[in-house]
Amino acid sequence: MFRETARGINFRFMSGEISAEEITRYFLKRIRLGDGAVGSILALLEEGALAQARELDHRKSRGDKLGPLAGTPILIKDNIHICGEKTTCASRFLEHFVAPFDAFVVTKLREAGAIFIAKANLDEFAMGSSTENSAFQKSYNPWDLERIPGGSSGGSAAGVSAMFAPLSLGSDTGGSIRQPAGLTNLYGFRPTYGRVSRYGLVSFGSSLDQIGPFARDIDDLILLQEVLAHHCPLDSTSLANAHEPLLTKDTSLQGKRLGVAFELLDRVDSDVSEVYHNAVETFQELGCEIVPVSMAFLEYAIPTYYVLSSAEASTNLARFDGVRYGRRSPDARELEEVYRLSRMEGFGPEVKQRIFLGTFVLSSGFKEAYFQKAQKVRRLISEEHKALFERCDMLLLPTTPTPAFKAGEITDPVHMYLQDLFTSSGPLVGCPSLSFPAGFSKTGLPIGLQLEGPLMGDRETLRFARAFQEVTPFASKSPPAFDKEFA
Amino acid sequence: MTPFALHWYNIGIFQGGPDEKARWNVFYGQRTPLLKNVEEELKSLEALCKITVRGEEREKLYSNLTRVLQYVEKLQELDTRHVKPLVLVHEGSSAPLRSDEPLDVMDRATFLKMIPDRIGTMVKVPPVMKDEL
Repeated sequence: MFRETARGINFRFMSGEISAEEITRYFLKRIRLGDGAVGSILALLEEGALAQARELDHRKSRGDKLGPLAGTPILIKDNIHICGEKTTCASRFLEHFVAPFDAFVVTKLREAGAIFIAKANLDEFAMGSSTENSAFQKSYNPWDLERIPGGSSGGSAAGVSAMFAPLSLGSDTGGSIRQPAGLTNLYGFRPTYGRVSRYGLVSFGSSLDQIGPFARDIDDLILLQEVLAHHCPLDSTSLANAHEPLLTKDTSLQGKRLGVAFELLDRVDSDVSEVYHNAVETFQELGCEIVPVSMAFLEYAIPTYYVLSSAEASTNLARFDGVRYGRRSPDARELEEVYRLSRMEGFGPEVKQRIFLGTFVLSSGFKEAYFQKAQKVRRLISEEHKALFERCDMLLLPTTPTPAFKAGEITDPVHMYLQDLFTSSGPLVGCPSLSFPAGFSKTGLPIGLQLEGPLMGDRETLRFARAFQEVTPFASKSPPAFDKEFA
Repeated sequence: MTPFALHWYNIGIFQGGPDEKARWNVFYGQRTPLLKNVEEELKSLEALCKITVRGEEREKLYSNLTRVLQYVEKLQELDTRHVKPLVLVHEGSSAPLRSDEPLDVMDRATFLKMIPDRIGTMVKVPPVMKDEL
């Protein structure tokens, strides 16, 4: 059953072949037996998941109408609230924090009948590109257990890749869904900013954060995204027209203009370059007209992104004061120490670094030179982007410069930030962007590429990927060590 | 003194040109170290961040911060004198404000349960005033 798509599992449940409780017990057991070497899961939600499953079984037996994901297990990144369960953000600060309400997406998933079986590991507060910044455990790539699964949604990616569930949720601020998806042979989608409500997602960079889905199959991803994307009155940046049907019968790409940036390939590994060239050929065979474009502005996207996201993080994380919730240092003897020591003990090095950077770029005397400068460059990038979409309908980009690197291999912060070279411009502009399975390196590591559409072009972006999946074998490949039942 | 000494005279001047790539790669300046008086600067940032950092962690933080700041200085290559800041991507499509009414989003007991230290329904914190005051 672990190989099944979400739709397959839903079908078996609805046809009466298997109960929701059996499905849930099966996947809980698979995680228990298989996750030791992967470390993708922070908490199994056994009690809650079984209660959900029994209720679904009961409602089904009563003949109730059930949602499109009924009986389907899903992993939730541990920075998204499920009421009554812990939300740790992989941080010591929130080690014992229990979410007091459901995130909007969690409410939508409940209505759709999905079963929350586990919370997935992440870089602390979603800051990182390797999941090595989790305060609790490292996660590894099911394709090669010495390598990282990417980040920050590394647990969500590794878990679906190891087939612990067909679906998961991640969050993407500068590439945190697409980069791990690319490194683990998954689809990972960052929707247009405002499509998916951020209510109940612990904030990192509010003008950039988006929740999005992971799946091994494009139609599963589309189905999940349709469930997630709805207008939410509790998020002031939620779009009024957030929802749209995403599945289209028409998969023809005849005459569509695909922007390709071959110059970027100077910056990537030869395997990634080869995969890119092959994909361009495939899209050409599918009827696309290839439009060469230059994306030299990407050089500026990372510094812009790090200034803005750190500034927003430093203000968002000011709420962790040790007074109202989360960690309070036992050594604090006066109020100032409650703040300073709780934050010193509660936050890890990467989070502190970003708070310091963000505070610096917002501080008096430097705000104009850094923060406002970055906001202005953000507009330049946005305008360059708009101009590109006058010449083409879709952009094709690498997801990462290399396949998955080894754990501990990257220690220089700027080198790590360069992981986001191809993913950080999308969030600055707000456009939809999808990493899809596009091939493998000579050593058998997955390589993902990205499709980036214009603002609100979510459906078209997914349609390109669907056409690609129909004619290529990559998405159906699973990591050999996990393509088996565990006993 | 200002917490960070920074030299601004090395800013690159952006000059538009027909070739996109050339346009975006203009750089005329020399980069200079951004953090000068380390001890002072870190202390003042620590106070703003409300985070104490010590020992080895402090050194690592400082060296990483210097590295990252040097890297983001790349933005100074671009002339943005006539560019308006972009704050949110969906400009002009702001959501209608909610009416100012209390919503029943979380009950009081749940909220109180999250507080690390309290007396009854009140948040307990250590003294705000120092003894000598």
